[in-house]
Amino acid sequence: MKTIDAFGLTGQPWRSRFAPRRTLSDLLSKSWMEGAVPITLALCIGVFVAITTPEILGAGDRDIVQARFIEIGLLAVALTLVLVAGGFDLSVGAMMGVAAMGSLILHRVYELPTELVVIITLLGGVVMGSINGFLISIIKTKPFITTLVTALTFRAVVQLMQGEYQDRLVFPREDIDWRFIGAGKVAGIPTGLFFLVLILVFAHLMLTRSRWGWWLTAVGSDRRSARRNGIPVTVVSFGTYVVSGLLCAFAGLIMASRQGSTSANVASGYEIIALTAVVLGGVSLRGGRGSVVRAATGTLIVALMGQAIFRRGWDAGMETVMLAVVLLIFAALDEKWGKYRPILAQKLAISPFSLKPGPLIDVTKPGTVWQVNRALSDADAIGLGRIEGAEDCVVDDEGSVYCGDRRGWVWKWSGENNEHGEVFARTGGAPLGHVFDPDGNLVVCVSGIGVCRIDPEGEVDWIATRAKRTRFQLHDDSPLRFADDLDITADGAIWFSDASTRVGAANYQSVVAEYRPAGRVLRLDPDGTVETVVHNLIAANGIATSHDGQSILIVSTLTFRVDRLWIQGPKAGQMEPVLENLPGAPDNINRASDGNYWLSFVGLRTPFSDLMLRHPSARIAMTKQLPVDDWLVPQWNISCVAKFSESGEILKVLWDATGEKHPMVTSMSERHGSLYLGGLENNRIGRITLPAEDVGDIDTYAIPGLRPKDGKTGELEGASR
Amino acid sequence: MKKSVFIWLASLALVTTGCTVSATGSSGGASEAGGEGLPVAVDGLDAQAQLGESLAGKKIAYVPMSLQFDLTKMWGQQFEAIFDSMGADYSQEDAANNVDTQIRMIDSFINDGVDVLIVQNPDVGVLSTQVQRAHEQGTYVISVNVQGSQSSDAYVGANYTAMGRLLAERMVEDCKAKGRNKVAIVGGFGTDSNDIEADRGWKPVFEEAGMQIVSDQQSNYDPTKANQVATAVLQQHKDLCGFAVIFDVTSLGVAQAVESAGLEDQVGIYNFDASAVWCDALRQGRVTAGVAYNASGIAVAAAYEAQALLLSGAPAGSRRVMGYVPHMIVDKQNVDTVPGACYGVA
Repeated sequence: MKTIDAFGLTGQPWRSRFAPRRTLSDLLSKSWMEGAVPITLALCIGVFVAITTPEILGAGDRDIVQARFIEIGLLAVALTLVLVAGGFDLSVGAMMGVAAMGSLILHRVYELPTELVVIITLLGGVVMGSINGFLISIIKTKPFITTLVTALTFRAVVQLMQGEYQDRLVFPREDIDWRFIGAGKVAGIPTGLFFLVLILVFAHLMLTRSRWGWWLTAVGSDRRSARRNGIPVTVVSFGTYVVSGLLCAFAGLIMASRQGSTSANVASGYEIIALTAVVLGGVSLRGGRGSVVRAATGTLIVALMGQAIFRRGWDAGMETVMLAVVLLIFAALDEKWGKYRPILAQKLAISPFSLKPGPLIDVTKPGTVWQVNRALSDADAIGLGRIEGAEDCVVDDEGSVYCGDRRGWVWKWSGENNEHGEVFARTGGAPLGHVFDPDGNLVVCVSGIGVCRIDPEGEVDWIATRAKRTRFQLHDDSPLRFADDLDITADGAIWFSDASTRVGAANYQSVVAEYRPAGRVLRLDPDGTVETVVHNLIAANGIATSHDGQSILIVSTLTFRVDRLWIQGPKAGQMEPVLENLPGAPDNINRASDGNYWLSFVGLRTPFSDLMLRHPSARIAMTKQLPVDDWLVPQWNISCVAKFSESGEILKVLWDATGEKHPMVTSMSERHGSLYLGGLENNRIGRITLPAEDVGDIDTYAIPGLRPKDGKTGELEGASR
Repeated sequence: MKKSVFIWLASLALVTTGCTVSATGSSGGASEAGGEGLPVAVDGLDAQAQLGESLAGKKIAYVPMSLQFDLTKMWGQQFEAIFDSMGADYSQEDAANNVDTQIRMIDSFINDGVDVLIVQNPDVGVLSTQVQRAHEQGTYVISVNVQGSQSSDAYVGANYTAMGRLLAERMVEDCKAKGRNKVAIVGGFGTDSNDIEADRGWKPVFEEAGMQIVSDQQSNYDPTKANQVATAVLQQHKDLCGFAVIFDVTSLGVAQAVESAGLEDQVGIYNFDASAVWCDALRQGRVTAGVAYNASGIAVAAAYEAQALLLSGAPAGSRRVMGYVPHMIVDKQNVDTVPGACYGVA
């Protein structure tokens, strides 16, 4: 079925689809935005450098830039991993120096075969990394000061080694294996570059796709909550320093083979270059965020900058100055951008929409069908004081009542007067709409998660948690954030509403403040696929299959209307209005036993709430300046249940005029001659016995169009589970 | 699952392609238009024209370890004077004693296809690849004062072994007079040819004379570092006879340490090279004696080599020669009369 665009129901012009504030907020909320700004600026620097000093792109300089890229790149990967895990490593340059000097000694003085030199050097890197890791992760010293000290120590080790071996160290040994590391090629790619790319790809996959990567990010973002979530914080953090040592040792090997420098200040200052590279790449110094690929991009820019400074004939000291300036600017950017981006995104998230509702029916005027009465005032209470916010409820064949609870539970109230309550299932979200499937399982819409099926033993099985993501849209609408109400059709499909693709039930007030079409209706096929059938509804809510099974009734709470979506027959795929311009905000809808429908109202329109709808800017001011409790929204403290016919005529309205027991009714369910009342803010389920004239002979829980089985629930025709 | 696929791919790439070590690739390079040298019989004007032609527009680059020493700065001034006057395209770079930077600069010049490269090796092995690459693409390499393990087209500098011997003999003489037998060595990088050759010169002399070398440490040609080294030595050996120091600038750092320790009259300071600043110190009695080599002669000889190579047009690396400049002991008595000593920088 083609997805129906319900935007037209708002009565607003096409251009109102655009919400610049929200688009900006969506953009800012993207996790890649964290690094996007620094990396874009860095690329600008790179382009600027390349344009002003084009020589650096020449064939000759390519080798030099490439050699720097490889060596600094390895350090940058090492530093990125440590930074993402919330640590810091100032000793990368010194470790590289020890490895470079050590490998030269092993190769030239002890004349070990290259393979052995590589193994020993890499092991040495692991040992050096372990020293950092031991001090920082196990002894719990501060990373900055620790690695500063170990950096000085490793540097001293280089001096000592050089002093000890200087006279035997100077003459290179001709060895093709050794030359291979620094000057060889694998598959036509220089050895170092080959391995760097390999390491980059591997580290990127590990960081973004593996459990280890998630652990690193978690530890770097918030150590304490990582620990509380069972992540082995010490091991993870220790591991990053070991990997850092290993990568630095590899960089040292490449440098030793390429350059063969026996200077005691080999690779000195590389830590600042690598640090600048990663910060240019948008790796956050505050931990938890960073990408090795971006760090590598930063490295390339640093390498280009260094060569450009030489090409412009500037003093070699200028390179350090330039790097320092760039480092400072980008570190400040990281700090400020990292801090204000989420705040700004949150501020811009609510982007109110202008709506012009029709004339308001005055329910206080006597003589109309809407006349306020006390029909609900004497409802019996079920689970009084124990239930918190049961949006909806259903009643099984034995008369037990099942209802949700905002704490994530599904209650079961059994016994003669439903006095015995137990937590039937725990969902972890906010259970909203409930319905029984033909097999006697409870199917529940859970805000924050999706749709689950709960078997008679209370086992929860998630049958829909994601929809297909809308293409070319910044906002990821694949999660089911606000699964609200549902019903089943004869073909076994479950039709459910998702009130907002942006927020969950806990933040329903922001949906009400915004009035922007962000809701949808989805169809869960028996084969498990989820498709969106209607989108751009404002707060899509109640769902009911019509008595003939040919259509689905859809409630749009904040456009005060009910529409019919034909799913069979000549009009299949079309939507037409059933009720429009209602005096309140309709919520759930259910079939009545006399062939009509029950519709609950979560709150009533007032002239003032209607006025607010016309003025989005006033609502922006409202959301900025007032606490949520003081927001001007429709009147939530009085509501009702209405019965309407198939043709859309309001037949009867039931009120609790006292407002004591059921000020807010979000759902009603007719079963066994009684009407059960749920309320999102209520502490009970209400029950009234319906007068005989309201009770017909239709089983309200039977799925329309299904052949009845044992006179109770139906059996699916042609569909198998 | 993902990991195994990845490893499989990586190993496939390795196996199928194989690994190679290529000689560092270079394309073309500066072809020599210099000719075959001067004809047997030549008119003075013709010879001048021929030399001018062989140098005109030629790119000549000079990359010492650092341009912050009077010595290397003075050479640079001399190179600039001669090469600019001959119409060559001369440039110099300051690596500020950083080996990585120096190599990067030299690599860049080689890639630019310079015709003559004048370098100072920071250590014996480090510029081997660069010299090789330069020769492959037809760039002449001249090493000044510090030699590398890969022979360049020409090396000009001082004979550090002979100078070391001379300096040590002078120290032994002075120490015997003072009745002391402890000496300390303050070297440069430790792995540069000056250090290695000086060790070969002075160590056997000290050993033969029964002197005790109480310390042998590196200063990296940095006076501050030399000062630290000397201070530590003096704390342990108040009865030291003298310091054998690699370089005049380094020596001034040692002198400060000796003065701080209040041992000016007892501990001698001996070193190679004699710039104007050092000569002033000698006159003030802050240092004892040195071996001065004809410092500006090195620049003259190197400049001559560059001109000769370009004029001869011999292929780069086809003829590798070396030569020394003269040296002699300088002390308070002869400081104003030693040729080449007490050179200054304009």
